[in-house]
Amino acid sequence: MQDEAALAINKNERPTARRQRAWNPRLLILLIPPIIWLSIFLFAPYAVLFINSFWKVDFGSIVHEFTWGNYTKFFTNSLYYGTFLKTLKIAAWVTVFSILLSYPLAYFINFKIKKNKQLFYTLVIIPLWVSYLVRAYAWKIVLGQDGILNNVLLAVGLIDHPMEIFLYSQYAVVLALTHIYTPWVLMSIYTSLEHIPRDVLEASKDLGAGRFRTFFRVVLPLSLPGLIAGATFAFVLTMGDFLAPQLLGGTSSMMVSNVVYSLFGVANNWPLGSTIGILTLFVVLGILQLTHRLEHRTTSFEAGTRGR
Amino acid sequence: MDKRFKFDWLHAGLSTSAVLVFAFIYLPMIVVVFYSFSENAVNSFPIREWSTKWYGVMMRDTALLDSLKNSLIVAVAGTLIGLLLGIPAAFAVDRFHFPGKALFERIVLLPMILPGIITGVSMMSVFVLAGVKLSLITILLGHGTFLIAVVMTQVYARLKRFNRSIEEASMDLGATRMKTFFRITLPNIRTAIIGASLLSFTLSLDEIAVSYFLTGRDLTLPVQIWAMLRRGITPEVNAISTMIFVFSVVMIVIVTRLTSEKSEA
Amino acid sequence: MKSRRSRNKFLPALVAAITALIVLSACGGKSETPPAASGSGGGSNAGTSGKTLNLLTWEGYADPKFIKGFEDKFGVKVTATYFGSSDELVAKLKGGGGDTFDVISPSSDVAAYLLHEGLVAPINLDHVPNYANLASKLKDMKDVQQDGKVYGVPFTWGPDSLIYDADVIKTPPDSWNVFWDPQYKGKVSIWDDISNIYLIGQMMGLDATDQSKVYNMTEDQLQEAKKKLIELKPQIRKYWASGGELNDLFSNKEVVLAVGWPLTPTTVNASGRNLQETIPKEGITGWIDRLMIVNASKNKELAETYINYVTDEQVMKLVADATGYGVANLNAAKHMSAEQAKAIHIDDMENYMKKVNFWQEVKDRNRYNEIWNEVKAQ
Repeated sequence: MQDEAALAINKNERPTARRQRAWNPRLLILLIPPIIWLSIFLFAPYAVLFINSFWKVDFGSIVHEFTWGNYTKFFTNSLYYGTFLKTLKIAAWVTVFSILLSYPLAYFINFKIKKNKQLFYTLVIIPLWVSYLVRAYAWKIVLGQDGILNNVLLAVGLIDHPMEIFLYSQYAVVLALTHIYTPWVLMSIYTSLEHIPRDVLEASKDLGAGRFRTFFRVVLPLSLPGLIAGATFAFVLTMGDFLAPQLLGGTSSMMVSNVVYSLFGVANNWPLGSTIGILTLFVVLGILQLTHRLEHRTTSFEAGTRGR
Repeated sequence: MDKRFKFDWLHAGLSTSAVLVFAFIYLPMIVVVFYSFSENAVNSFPIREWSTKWYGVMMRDTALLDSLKNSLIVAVAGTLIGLLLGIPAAFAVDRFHFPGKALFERIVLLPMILPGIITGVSMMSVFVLAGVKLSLITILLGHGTFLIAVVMTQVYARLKRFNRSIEEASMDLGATRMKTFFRITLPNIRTAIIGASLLSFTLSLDEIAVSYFLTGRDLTLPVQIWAMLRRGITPEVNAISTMIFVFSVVMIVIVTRLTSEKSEA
Repeated sequence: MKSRRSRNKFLPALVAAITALIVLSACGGKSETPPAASGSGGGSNAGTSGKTLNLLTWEGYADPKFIKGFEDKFGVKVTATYFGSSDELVAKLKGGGGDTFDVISPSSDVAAYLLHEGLVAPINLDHVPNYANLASKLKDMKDVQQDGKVYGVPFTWGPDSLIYDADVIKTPPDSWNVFWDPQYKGKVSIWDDISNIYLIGQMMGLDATDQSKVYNMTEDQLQEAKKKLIELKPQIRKYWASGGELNDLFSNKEVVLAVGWPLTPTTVNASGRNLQETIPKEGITGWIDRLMIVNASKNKELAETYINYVTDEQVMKLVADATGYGVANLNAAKHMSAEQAKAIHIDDMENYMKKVNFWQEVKDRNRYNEIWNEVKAQ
């Protein structure tokens, strides 16, 4: 493939292309603008964040004096490392719930719906296009003291006084984030399920495998790459969320991004905020690297047939 | 498959859970739509009186309308940046082999995957360091950066499926490279470009984490809504949310039509 | 063939739509920067027309009730950005940079800090004749003066009082300890701000002799305050982030007890509720808000015109209407009913102020913020 491309390009500009095959002018024209842009608006910011994480702060102003203090503070004060760990826990819950909710629906649409499959799929992904804020805020109406859930439960007689635990609690945060990321996970799982040819399932059945066996030995493994991709997405985005805890969280729902937000937007301690930002960055990159490998290890059907 | 004579517990369970998940996904948004027509300023249940007054309030809220205008400016300009830099990047990755290509592909994607707050605070740090005043421009620069990734992935995916032999045939028949690009390549990836534009536009319109930190005094719509939520101005937010919901549905209908056309062609 | 045609129609339509949008937004942008007005207008009304004045203020300080009059009279547009805490103000001012904002309304805990940092400019009082009519008690505060120049014009003041829902709590609570009363578990709201630490300081009796003690607590005292605030957590429904959010919490019957500003009863009672304010025996803290002009502002004269406008006695009455706060121009009382004058304590300002410990600069704000975050993270 690559050689073909190189060949096609070499036709017109033989001399330059041959001398410098990897860096021909056409490639440079395509590549240089994005690279310049990314250097200025992606690398430079992360570099500045990294450098800032080593400065001191005095009365709300950055003092340019090298220190490891911010890092030691992160790892010794439970406000910082504790919140970080709690955030990982919340992200894990959201990821697990999103998978549990989206898998059956993805499976149902892909294998059980015969007519209007596209319509159902579209219905599922519409929420992806609806404002994040709107979806988080909607839960406030549902879960409040005088909200729908409490009133319905009161009317049915399941509870005798409005429950406070629904809104302004960790549960509300996990619930709303699950609601927000379920369609993403679903889309990802659905795409990988869609690529499983029906013949494979038929073959599995013909060979005498039951429905469960077919699912666990054939369908699930083949959908793993999609599942992992969706799960990564849900996990990483939850880690970076700071709005849901502010909107729906209770007194102890602070997540790591809220701490970063507070250090930058309230407490005027940018160096410490940068430190936490950099550490989050590394953890996220680590997770991405890990799942990247996992995805490749669990080959999807599509990739398998293409013979990578 | 057709075992109608026997009640299929597994199938029933699956169907029920599918319906419940559907309800879970949609109920909250439907609730907002209903409450946008509630007379009461407080979101209490049940809704006692119906009214469209919050839509009137919304239409007269100049701060809100300004923020909508700001958001549209940023979304359009951001999409253009995404297209201008993302399409070349997609071609570079698809057509050429160069050292560090795998790394480049993954780095471009970073702003799309990394938590927005990290991108936001790091860009804010660099702007403050460089003495750049926070404004719509800084928000736009932030959006452009992740929209490049959005456009690149969409266009690259289409290019990968694109049969290159048509291009070669065109050039063998004597068409210039330019002509081949505009007559053959571009029409073939056009739906991908339109799809990427609409996706970029919507993502930019909804973006909050990066915008939040790069905002000067001109707010974008989500930042304005967030400020309103924080200040407890909820009935009006119900009305805006409903409008956003309707807008989103329209957008996705357009995109789905485009993608189904693709399969027809 | 059919799909091809519709596609061909779609792309031009999209291009047209985007072009229209850009043209529209470009026109919209233009209207904000009309040609520079003729004449530089030395402090007079001339030359202000068409300009935009940008406020960075607490909620309620850009209410149309009094802003509209200014906009109409001088032909300017006022934009407002709100901050939810003093720290947020400082962060926005430092981060936002440059001349993003013209006029700010810092409280007494950060006003001096802004002055030391060089973020605010001296005010030419010749352009603010109403300054002469403001309460001398407020003008005498030295924290916003330097080298004989005045950097802040008193605007409003008020308490962080105990607010309770009188329909639920029949007798006025006489102590902040009511917040820890198990009876009101999950029914209390306090501000998401370091001022809670001052409150605990008062409960510990630190300000009995020296008011500034609660703003400069020792590490041990801070740890004790932290313990007390953590004990309070099960009682708390939500830490409110803005006055509006607290109004919402009361309106939705989520809470019955809170620490808050007069803005809340003023707003919530307007829809038929019965919220009351009280001063518990441990005392309360309060704040004095001054209007200041950002150093980098390019609209300093317009800013001074604005400051003069809003400190006018008739306009100050409207400010009181909108916020329920005490206003700096005592003559505003002439335009008020007796009840309103009493409600905002303008009739008895000196006496009432003795009961309030007004916010002062916190030297180690960093540590206070960290303690407060530790409470929240617990």
